Amino acid sequence: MESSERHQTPFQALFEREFVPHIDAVYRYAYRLTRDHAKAEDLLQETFLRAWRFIDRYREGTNPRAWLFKICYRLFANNYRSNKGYSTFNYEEWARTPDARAYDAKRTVSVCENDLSEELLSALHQLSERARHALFLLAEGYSYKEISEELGVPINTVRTTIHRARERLARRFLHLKRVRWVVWVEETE
Amino acid sequence: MKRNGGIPAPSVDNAAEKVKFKSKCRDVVPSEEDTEDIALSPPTNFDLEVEHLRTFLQRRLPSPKAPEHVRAWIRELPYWDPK
Repeated sequence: MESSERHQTPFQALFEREFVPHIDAVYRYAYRLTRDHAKAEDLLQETFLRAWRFIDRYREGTNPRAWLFKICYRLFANNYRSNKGYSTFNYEEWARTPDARAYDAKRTVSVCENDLSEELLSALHQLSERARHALFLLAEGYSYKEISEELGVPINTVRTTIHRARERLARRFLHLKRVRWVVWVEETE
Repeated sequence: MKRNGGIPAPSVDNAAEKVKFKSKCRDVVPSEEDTEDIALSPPTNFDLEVEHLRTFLQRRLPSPKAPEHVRAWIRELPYWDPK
């Protein structure tokens, strides 16, 4: 029986209406935080389980996606990272492996989309936790003001954090040679 | 890369020498090595607007979709774990 056909309590209806449409967005966010599909699945399930258990604290008419992201990030920051084997990707260590050298050799403009995506994610994971989180939220459509509320820091701190992160990203992508720079700049025009 | 193409810098208080120094620097032809360094440098006018950065991240960050079995598990969650 489809869930829409069965009798629903107000909370069940609220859950389906407000939270279920954001499953993919939360999964995407969880994947960017963990960089691992299995861990992202766990984090996604824990986020929605928590959202359901505390649904009576959710204020209807507010932003359900922001509420889910907040739960997801707190779970990641408080429990997941410390208790479930999350480790920060070490680019320097990886760069010394044969895989990395082979990867280096094929760094050309024709590099496939997915490689560049993972490379960008890897570059973001070299930034500070605050900067990384700010950029993830920026990618999710948050304004500076919303990011400052989410991070609990003044808006000018957000501006500075993003500005510096942007510069660091620029330096990080420098070794991809100028040709990649051109791709980056052209893409954003 | 040698600074100023290897031309020795003028003393701090000699204005005439400074002018001559600037003129010499303009005539320096960059070596191949210098040119390569320049080619590898980011554009100096590179200033990504925040909306451009947002678009770039949205296009370029991995955006996987949730697996179907997890999606089904979430949709059923309120029915096996009633409040």
